[in-house]
Amino acid sequence: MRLYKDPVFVVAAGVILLHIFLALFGGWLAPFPYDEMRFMSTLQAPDSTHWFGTDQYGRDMLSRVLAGGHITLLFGFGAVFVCFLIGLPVGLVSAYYGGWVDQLCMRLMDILMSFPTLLLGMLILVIAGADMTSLIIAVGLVYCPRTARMVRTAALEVRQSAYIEAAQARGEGGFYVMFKELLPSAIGPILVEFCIRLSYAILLGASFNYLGLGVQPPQADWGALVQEARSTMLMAPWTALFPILFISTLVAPLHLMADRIDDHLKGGQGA
Amino acid sequence: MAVLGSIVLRLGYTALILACVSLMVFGVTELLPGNVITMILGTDASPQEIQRLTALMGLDLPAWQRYWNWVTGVLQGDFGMSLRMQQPVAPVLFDRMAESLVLASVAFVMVAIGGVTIGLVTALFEGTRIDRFITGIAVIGTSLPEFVTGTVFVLLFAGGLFDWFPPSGYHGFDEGVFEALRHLFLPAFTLSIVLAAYVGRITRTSTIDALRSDYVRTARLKGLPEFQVICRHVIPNAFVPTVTVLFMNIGWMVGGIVVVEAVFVFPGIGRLMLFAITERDWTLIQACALMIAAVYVFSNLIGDLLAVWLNPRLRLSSN
Repeated sequence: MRLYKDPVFVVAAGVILLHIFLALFGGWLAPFPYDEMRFMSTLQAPDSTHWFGTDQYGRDMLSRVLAGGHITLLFGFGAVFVCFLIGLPVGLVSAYYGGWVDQLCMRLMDILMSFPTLLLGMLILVIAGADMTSLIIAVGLVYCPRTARMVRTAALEVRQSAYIEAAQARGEGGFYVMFKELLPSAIGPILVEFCIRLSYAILLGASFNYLGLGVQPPQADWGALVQEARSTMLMAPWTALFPILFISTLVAPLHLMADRIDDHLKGGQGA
Repeated sequence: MAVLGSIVLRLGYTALILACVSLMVFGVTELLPGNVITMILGTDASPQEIQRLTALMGLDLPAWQRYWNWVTGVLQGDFGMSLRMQQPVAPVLFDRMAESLVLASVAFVMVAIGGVTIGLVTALFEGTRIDRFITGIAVIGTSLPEFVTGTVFVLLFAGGLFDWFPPSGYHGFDEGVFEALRHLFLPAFTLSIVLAAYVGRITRTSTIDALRSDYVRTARLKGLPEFQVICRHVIPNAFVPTVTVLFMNIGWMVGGIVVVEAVFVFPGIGRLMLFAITERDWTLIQACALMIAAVYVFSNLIGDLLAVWLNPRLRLSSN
């Protein structure tokens, strides 16, 4: 079956595209400024003016959720970019050269991985200070060993192929072979890794924001919005429900999409 | 002998990792922005005062010597003085650690029971609606962060929809076993979900493999009742990977526990660490980070050793 005929894949991809659209144009669609406080209308239930209600400072939740999506996707993609910036070359070099280069790279990655992810990220954020850039770097660094391993495994699968040997026999350099031969043939599993990593990066980044270690108020991603709703959510559940709804509908489809691509790749090999 | 050799090798590796971890934790606090002395004395302290405290805290020593003093202190159970709490770090640290261990243990039991149940049910009903439904729920469960599941549970069971559990706090077993368990239930359940779903998936695969094996076919053909086939032939074989995965992922909970403690205001090591960070209490940050990392490294070690011990094939292949 073609991937684009798989209903689960299509729905998941559609939902993710919708999220990306809202993140890009949300600021423009939002009915109110995300940080405008109105003390006359605090904790209002959803109605026709405030579709998602208001928070304890009278800020419009729809506008805050839309602005939060922009931040969430920004640090998600940013962190994955950092991940691949480090993980992709390390993984490819490890797989291509093997031997002591491989050993050295992988042991270094092991040392990074011997820290619990959340703790390592917290320590990086403590040094770098709590803001968007630190958040992207922290999440990216925490996850880059895992990306490096995945890329290495995927590249090792095709390392012994005849066309790699052919390229070497033609006298192509290591850089060419790695990026023009190894990378394109291992692109399937790397794509799966991209989706999975993006979902984990969003979850970890949102968790840091929930703990107050990331973006600072009045800016808030979905994690920080759930944190802000802590004191009010039993009286005004909408303050917590909408951010939760948005983060869940972004992360679950990413997992499903990765799962479908993975299935598709395995099916393709079996046939 | 080879087994013993590999265990010794593994222990040596663990010691090396711990050394790296302690260096990294020390290095982080070296880089910490903000001068500790001005933090304690304030900006208008006299130069003499600054000099006196610098010498008193040993901050005039070179970095390697301070690292050495710190590590030897830690090995003797002395984590230094907290900058904010005006008392030694060690007693507080061990108290909070004990509370976190209680929470993690309850969560571990939940993971074991939940994961095995999910795995067995989905395997025995493979391909049916029940299988698809539970597997779907499990996928969603693994894809949500603890602060989301925790918040949803509070909204559902701790005052929002139903009022069965307290939304936050924990005061230990002094208040009675029932009260303590009521406070522990939601945090532990939140902590267990991701891992239970994962263990469930592993159990499902290994149970399906066992169900399709030759020895199960033989057992059925010789006329054993299905119940006995499952209890005597399927379960013992299917559970080796389950137990292995269960123990190899104890370390995984270490990360989740920080968030869960923040959601449920649970007085464990995770919240102590967060307190240390917001207060910039660097002795406390060092102590918490080292403790959390050490627990993580050791539980991974135990998981690895158990995996070798439980799996005869791994044991033999190391020969």
